[in-house]
Amino acid sequence: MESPISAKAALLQALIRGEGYGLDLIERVKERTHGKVALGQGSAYPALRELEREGLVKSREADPTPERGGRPRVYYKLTAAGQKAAMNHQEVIAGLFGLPEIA
Amino acid sequence: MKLWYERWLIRKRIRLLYRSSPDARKSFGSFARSTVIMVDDIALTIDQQKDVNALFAAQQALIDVVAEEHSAFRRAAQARQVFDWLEVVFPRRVTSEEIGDALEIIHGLATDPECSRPGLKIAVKTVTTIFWVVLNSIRLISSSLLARKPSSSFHVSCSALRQARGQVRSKISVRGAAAQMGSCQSAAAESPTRGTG
Repeated sequence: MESPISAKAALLQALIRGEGYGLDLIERVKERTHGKVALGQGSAYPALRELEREGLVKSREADPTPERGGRPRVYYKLTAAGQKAAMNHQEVIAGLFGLPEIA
Repeated sequence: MKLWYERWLIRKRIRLLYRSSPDARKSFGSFARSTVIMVDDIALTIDQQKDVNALFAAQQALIDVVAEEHSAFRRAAQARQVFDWLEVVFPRRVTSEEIGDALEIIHGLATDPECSRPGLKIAVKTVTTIFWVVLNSIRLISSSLLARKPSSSFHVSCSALRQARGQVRSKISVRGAAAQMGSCQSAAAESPTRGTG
């Protein structure tokens, strides 16, 4: 079955909990949806870059680590517009499925 | 006959391990000449008079573990080399993030003692990462090209420049005329007061 939520929307929801890097966000989405939405390399990274281009998230590079072959981790964080978009998205989803509004 | 076959099988496995890495020679003693195999400082003696099958089974298990671990680290090192080359060719933004995350997963697979067939899993992860890095780089480049206005030919851009220059000139002339008109109006407004004053 097709994923019930787009990669961008899922990542926005995962970022509400706080900043995170690619693998961490993929794991958060998986955990939060009980494995129903599993983002892969093909969808998560382009979606994050697209969100950044749209100004919904901003990224920063952390210190490089030896496990990553001296490459830095790229952390993503919601911007004010991103937070607004994420909350709007929650409301829409809640309204669609007839759920009580999220405070 | 059975004994000969089992010995042949073990020799074959050790030879394969030898080929996979020169370091394996250090950990294994010379099996062909003596009847003692050294694996990580554990000596295994092949005694043909005793329970050979049990001994061979133990050896096989030990060789399997060492070979599997060895292949995992070898594959991880190979993956790192391949990724270093990818970094030269593809955009840093894509490689530092995606390759970094893939290397983190590969490191986890290579060091996890409970992971089954880590060598194979690392190889698969390497191939899929290469595929996605290439594809996502193409996506990134094409989207950045499409986001910008397509560059037109030199002739068109020259004519566009001329047109823009004409617009600027006309704006300046309009402003100048407006300023002149404004000054005339203010002079006209001031003149009667001057006359009366």
